[in-house]
Amino acid sequence: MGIRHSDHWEPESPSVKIYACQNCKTHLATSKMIISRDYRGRTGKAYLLKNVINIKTSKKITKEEMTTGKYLIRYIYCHQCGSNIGWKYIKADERDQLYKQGRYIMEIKRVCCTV
Amino acid sequence: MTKNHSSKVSKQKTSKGSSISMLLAQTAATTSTYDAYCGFSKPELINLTIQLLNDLGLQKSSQTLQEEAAQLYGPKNSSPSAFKGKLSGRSVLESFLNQIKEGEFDKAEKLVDKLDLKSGQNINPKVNCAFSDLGWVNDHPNELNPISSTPNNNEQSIKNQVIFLIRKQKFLEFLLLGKSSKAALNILKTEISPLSYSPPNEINMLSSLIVDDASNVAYIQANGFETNRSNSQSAQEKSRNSLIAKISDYIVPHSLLPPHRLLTLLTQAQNYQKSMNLITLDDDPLNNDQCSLYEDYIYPADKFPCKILQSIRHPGKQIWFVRFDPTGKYLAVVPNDSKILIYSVGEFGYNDGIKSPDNNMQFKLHGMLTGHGKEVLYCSWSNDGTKLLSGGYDGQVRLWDVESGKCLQKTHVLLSKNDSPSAKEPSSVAPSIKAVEWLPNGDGFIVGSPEKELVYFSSDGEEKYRWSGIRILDLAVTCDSKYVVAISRSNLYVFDLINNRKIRDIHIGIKLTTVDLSRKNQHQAIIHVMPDTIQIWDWKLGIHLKKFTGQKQEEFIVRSTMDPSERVLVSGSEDGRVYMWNTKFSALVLAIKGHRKLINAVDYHPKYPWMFVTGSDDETVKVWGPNAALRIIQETKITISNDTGAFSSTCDDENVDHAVEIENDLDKEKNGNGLRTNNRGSRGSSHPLVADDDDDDDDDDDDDDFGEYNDVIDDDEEEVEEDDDDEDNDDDDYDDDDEEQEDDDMVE
Repeated sequence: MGIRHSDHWEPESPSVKIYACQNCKTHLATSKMIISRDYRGRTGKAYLLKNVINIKTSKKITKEEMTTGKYLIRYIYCHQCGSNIGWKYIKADERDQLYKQGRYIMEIKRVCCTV
Repeated sequence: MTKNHSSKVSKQKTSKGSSISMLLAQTAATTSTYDAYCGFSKPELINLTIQLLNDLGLQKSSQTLQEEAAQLYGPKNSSPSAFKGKLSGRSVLESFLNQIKEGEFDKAEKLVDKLDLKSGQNINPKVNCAFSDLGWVNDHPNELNPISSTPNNNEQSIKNQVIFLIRKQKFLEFLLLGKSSKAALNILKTEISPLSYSPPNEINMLSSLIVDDASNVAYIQANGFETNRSNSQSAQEKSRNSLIAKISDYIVPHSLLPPHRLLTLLTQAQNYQKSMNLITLDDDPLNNDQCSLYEDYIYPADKFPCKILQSIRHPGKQIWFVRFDPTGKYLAVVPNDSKILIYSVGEFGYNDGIKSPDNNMQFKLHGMLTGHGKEVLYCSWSNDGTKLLSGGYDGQVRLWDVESGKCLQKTHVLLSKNDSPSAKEPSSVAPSIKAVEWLPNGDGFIVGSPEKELVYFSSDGEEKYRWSGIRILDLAVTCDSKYVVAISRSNLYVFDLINNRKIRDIHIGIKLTTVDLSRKNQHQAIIHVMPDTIQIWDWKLGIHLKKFTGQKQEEFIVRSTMDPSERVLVSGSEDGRVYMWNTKFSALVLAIKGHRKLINAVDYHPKYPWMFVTGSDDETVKVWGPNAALRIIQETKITISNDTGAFSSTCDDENVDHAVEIENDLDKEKNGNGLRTNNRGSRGSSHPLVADDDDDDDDDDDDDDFGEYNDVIDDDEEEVEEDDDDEDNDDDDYDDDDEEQEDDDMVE
């Protein structure tokens, strides 16, 4: 799969943190993208994010039953090394969870801070 | 053009003297239709022939020809004997030049009247404009040719200019060659100053020389003299030759035939034929022996590397990077793995002619370097080919001894701005290393990281200097070890290693991926710009020189390389083809299918113009060689155990495609063809190599191992991270659908 050309986040303020793939340092998201820090993924703590770059999504849509209800999700992977990063919400069953649709979950254990 | 020119001359001149050149020139003008031979003036052709005959030492034939030419073109009343013993058309000129050589300046002056001088419009100052030197950038606007700056260029003025030059020479000889400054002063007063053409600045310069002759070294040297007052014969001769060269600018070329003119023309013709031949690879002097004047020069197409000599398969490993060592003995192959494979370069030679294939000629696995924690992205050989530097995702730069396979040194690049990892946030780790290059002089190495660091290390691994704040995606070091050329996403930067300064910052485009430098001209940087473009820039001047298109590069990092003579640029491509361009014309000469998947890296052998290797996602490294080579048809399979680092190699003889190839080659032998076999002649194209060579070299019989490979990676991860089973299943789904992933994204 070669070495991909990855985009980089260039935040204007140094206080904005950049999150990258733990394995290959491919940029994924910044702290500005965070909607909420109070999420839990498969590996522990996770963030809900507006946008994540340099990822591939699984083609298959998975049905997941979580504590807040049922969801259709796609798993997301680092486009370079293929590590699982988290998932993307495609559809939420519960009305009060609709805001999650199109948003991403990024698992903290799979990412690192970078510059 | 020639005719116009000569008619102009003849109008200006009344017939003077018995110089045959003038006669010939006039005849050419008056009876031009009659005397043109295939568009060339007959007298010119005859003069060239006479010169050639003289050069060849065939004096007798030359004289006969002169006599014959005089009968044809000379005045009817002149007898052939008048031309005896003289080079045609050069009697006045020759004696004039001889007199200058002898130092009889007064006599020479008298002959100026009889010379065939150019009129003002025809005097072209010699413009020093060579593309390689970028001559159009005039750095010395003041050094204009004195001829062109003189407004009044009528005939008399030109004569005066020539006389001035002669008298100046006389003056300088008296002064500088140690004869007498008094006599020199006298010449200046009585001969130079009264001339109607006497530029004041020259006069000033000359008079200042009398007072202090070393005052203007440049001026003295420009006139062909040395400053050390040497009175030797050679100094005098040199200055007089320089004067003759200057005067010859004023003389109509009809009468002044440059030495060996016909040979010069023939050499030019051959060079032109070579340069127009897009696939000419080397400046091999041996080639000139084969170059006959009887036929056009054709670079033997069977020497061009467009055949796969060996295919080395690494099951489960995509090949990300390949590089020959500068001595050409080893090849470093980087799979998407933490290991580096070292191959000994095979002896597939062209010079030996076609030998029967032999196992000893193959590329063989020489050793393996293990130690990196994650994938290696880049490696660089020391100049002597004994040590290798490597870097990758784990942030380590390792220095290896290639023979023993031992890691001699481990260097970490630390982030200059080290964030204190808070408990809540993910932790920071060492930056990944995208490029690492030795300085060619061995004094150290440069490491570049996309985590905004560029670090200059001494050879023992101590940090010497650091530039922070630029995302370095790739870098190259100039041959003189003075500059580092690095790229970020959109800009090209040049760093001066001696003064530790950033000296260039050139905006190139949107997505730059790799940079390399020309070995012939270190100011030329070869840059891959996405999508689908390779550009050559002169970083010193900031000028975009050339552009190469055709290959596909939209998502991945693809590398390119140039042959040792830098006539051909070879690049990988996402479509599995190898693309080759003629660098002079940026013309695509070959696009040949070599791999089933993306070609990540190519590298040319540093010495052999007929060998390069490609590394691809289809898990193979392929060795390319001359079209005519009889191949070793075995496919080598290298299996690497993940745990122990042991490796084994097997040869796979049961390849159907290759068996077909063997037959082809045998056919060739039956036909008794030697080196010049051109099995592509039937295509009948002027560029026989522009062909999509789909017919062979594809290993279609092999299964696609891609999916399996990903499983391997996932397994590894599982060990570390203990994922649950559900996710693993999902991974499988994802892997199977890898190809369609992009479309899917679009839908969302």
